[in-house]
Amino acid sequence: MQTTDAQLVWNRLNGIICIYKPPMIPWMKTRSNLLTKLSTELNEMQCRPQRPHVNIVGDTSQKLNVEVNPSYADHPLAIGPRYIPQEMKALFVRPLGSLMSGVCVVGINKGVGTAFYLKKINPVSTFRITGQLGISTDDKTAYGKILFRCQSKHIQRINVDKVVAMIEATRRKSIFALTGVHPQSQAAYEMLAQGLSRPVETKYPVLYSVKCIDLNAPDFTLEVVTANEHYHYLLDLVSEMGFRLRNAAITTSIQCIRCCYFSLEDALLKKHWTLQNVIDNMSRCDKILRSNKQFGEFLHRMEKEEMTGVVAHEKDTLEEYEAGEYEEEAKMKKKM
Amino acid sequence: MTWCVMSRLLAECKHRQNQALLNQILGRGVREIVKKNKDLYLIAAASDPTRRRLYCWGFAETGALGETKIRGNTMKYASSHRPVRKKFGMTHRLVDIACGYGYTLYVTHKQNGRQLYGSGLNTDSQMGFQTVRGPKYPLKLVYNIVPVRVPLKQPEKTRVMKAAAGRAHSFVLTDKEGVFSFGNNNFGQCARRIVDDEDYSAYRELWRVSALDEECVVDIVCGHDHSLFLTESGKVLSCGNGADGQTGLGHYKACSTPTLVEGDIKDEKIVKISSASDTVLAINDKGDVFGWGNNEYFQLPLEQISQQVNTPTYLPRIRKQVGAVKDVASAGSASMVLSENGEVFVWGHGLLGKGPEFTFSQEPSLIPMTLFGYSAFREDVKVSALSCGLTTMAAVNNYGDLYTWGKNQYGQLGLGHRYDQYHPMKVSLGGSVIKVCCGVDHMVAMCLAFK
Repeated sequence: MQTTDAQLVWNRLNGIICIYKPPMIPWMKTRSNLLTKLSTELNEMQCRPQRPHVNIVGDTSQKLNVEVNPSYADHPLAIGPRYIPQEMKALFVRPLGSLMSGVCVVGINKGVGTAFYLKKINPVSTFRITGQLGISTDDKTAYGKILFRCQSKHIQRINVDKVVAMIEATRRKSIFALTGVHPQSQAAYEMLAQGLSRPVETKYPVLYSVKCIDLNAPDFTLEVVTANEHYHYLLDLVSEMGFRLRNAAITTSIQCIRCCYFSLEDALLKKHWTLQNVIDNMSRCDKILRSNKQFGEFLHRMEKEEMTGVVAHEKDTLEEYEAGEYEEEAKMKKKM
Repeated sequence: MTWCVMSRLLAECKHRQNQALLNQILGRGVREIVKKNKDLYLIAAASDPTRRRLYCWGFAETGALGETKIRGNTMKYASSHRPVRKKFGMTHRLVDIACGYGYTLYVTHKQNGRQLYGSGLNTDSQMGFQTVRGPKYPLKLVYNIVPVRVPLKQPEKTRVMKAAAGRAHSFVLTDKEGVFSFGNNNFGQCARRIVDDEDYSAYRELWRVSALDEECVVDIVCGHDHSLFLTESGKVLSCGNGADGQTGLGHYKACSTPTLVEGDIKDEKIVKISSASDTVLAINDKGDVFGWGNNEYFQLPLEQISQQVNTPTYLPRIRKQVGAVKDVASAGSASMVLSENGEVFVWGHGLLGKGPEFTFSQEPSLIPMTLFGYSAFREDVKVSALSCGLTTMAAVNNYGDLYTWGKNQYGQLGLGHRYDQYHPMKVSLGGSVIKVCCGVDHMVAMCLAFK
C-alpha cells in the first residue's frame, strides 16, 4: 500500500471482486470473514482523527476562554473502531452452499448495484463435481448417513457417457418447454439467435451441458454448465445419474470453476484477502466487465445515471431484496 | 503419458518419415510437444482404446449403421434418431470414415492385415465383392461391418489413408500404391472404361486407377455420380457424369478418365473441394471460392444467372461478403462456407438453418454464432469444420460440439426426434467430435471421450 490514509482506501473500495470460497464454510461466514479482514486492516491504517470538542470555560461575567480538544465521545475506545464489518455492504451474485467451493463474485459497497444486475441476468456458471458410485446416503453427500451400498467396479466410462448424454438431451428439450416456444418455429430461431436461451424467472434451474471428464470407478468427475442452479439441484443431478446407471451415486465435492465472466484465475484465495489484493482484483474484474460488450453498455448507463442524479428505483428494490435475503438467511439459521 | 503411447508416437513419426519431429520427441519432453501439436495430440489420445468413440444414427434399413439391433418398433422401417455408440470404434483405431448413399466405409489402422471395412448397401459392389454362399450369389445388403479386401502389392508396407463414397461408387487412397476404385461405373465415375450392360453387383475386382500414378493425390471427393481428385500441387482432376457440368471439363458429357480441370482454377492452388450432390465448391490457399456444376437452386452466387456451369468459375461475391474462406460444404440445393473468423454463411434453397420462414437466399447469409454455442459467458467459440449431406448440414465448433440441421425424416440429425430441424441444434454425444460425415440418410461421427 502506498498510502496510509484509510479514508482514501475506503473511497476506492467500491466495485466487484472475485473470491475463492473455501469448502465446508457457509457463504455468510465467508462474507463476514472477508469483511472483518478488510475492516481490521482499514483500522490499522491512519484513520480519521477524533472530532473536536469545543469547551467554553471561565467566568461568564468576564471574557470567556474557548478550548478546543479532541472529543472523547469520538474516541475509538469509547465508540469502537472506525470501520466495522456491519457498515460495509457485500452482495454475493451466486451464493455457494456450504459443501461447495470455488469462484464467488461479490459486489462491495457501491459495487452492490452491479452485483445485483449480474444476479438479475441469471448468469451461467460451470461446476466441476466429484462423486462416488456405489453408495447411497440420506443427504446425497459424502457426509450423510449411509443407506445402502452396491457394486460399482463394473461401471465403465462408456456407460457413464451414455447416461450423461441422455440427461443432457432431456434437459435441453425442457428449455423450450420452459420458454413456451415451439422448437420448430421461426420464433424459436429468433429467440436462440438473440443469445443463450435464458430463463425469465429465477425459480427454475436450467442445464446447458453435462460432461463426464474422468472416471476411475468408483470415483468420477462431471463438468456441468447451468444457470439458476442451487445446491440441491446439483446433488439431485448426481444421484439421478446414479439411478440411471442402475447404481447409486453421492457427491463428494462441488467446485465452481466459472461464474458469469470470471474464472478460477481471477479468484482470490482466502490467504490473499488483503486490502491491496482486493483493490487490485477490483480493477481486474472491472476490466473484464468492461471488455464484455453486453455488460460494458450497462456500466456506462449506470455511470450516466449517477452523474445526472437519476438513481432510479432500482436502489429501493435492491435494499428490499437485500433485507429479504438476510431474513431468509436468519430463518435458515434458526432452523439449523 | 504411458510408455505405450510414446512408443506408438515414435512409430507414427517413423512412418511419416518426419525426422525433425522424431528428433524433437527424443530430445525434449514429449508432453510439451504433444500439447502444442494438435495432430499428435489426437494420435496420442486415439491410441487409448477407452477414449475412442464412434457414433452413428439415421436410417438403419440399408445396414449403413452396421447395427442389427436397431429395429423399427413404431415405424415401418428401422432407424435410430439418437446417436448409437458402436463397439467397432473402440476395437479398431479409425483413420477416416466415408458415408455414401446407404453405406459407410471405415479406414482403420492396420490390424490383422485389414485396413478397410464397410457396411450397408452393396447393390453395385460399392463395398467390394461380398458373399457368403459363393461367387454366384453376391450380397446386396450387408448389415454388419465386414472387412473389404484391398488387393495391395505390398500389404505390409502400404497403408490405406482415405476413403470416399458417392451414390454407388467408392474410392480408396493409399500412400504408396495409388488410388483404387470400385462400384457403379455407369458414367465412368470409377475412372475406368464404360462397359455397356455391365453387372456391377457381381464385379469382383478393385480397379487401380493407373491414370493417377503420376499425380500425388491427397484427397478424393465423390459427388453424386462423379469423382474429383485433389493433388498435392493443388490441381484438380475429375471424371464421371457431367450432365450438370459437375466435372468442370467444359462439356456436359460423361468422362471415364481423370482429366485435369481448368477454367478459373487453372493457376490456383486448390486446398479443399466439397461436393455432396451435383454442385462443386472449391477453395484455394488464399481463401477464394470457386464453383461449378448445378445452379438450379442458386447454389453458386454468380454474376450471370445460368442453371448449369461447366467450367470452374471464381465467385467474387463471397469474397466481398464473407472475406477469406476456411472451409466449404455444398449440399443438394444449398451451400455453406466458413469464414476465417469462424462464422458460418449459408445460401441456396431449402432448410438453411435460419428458421422455417427463411428458405431461399441468393446471397451468403450469416447464421448467428449464438446458435453454435456462443454466449456472453463463452466468447471464444468458433466453428471449425463443416459437413453436408444431400439435405442435412452439420458444423463442429472448437469445443468439439456437433450442431446439425436440415431434413430429418429418418432421424438422420440425431436430435432425438424426427421433425425437420430449422436451426442448428446440438447433438448430445459422449465425446468431442473429431470428424463427422453425412450420408444421404445417416450420419457417422468419430469422437474422443471428454477430458
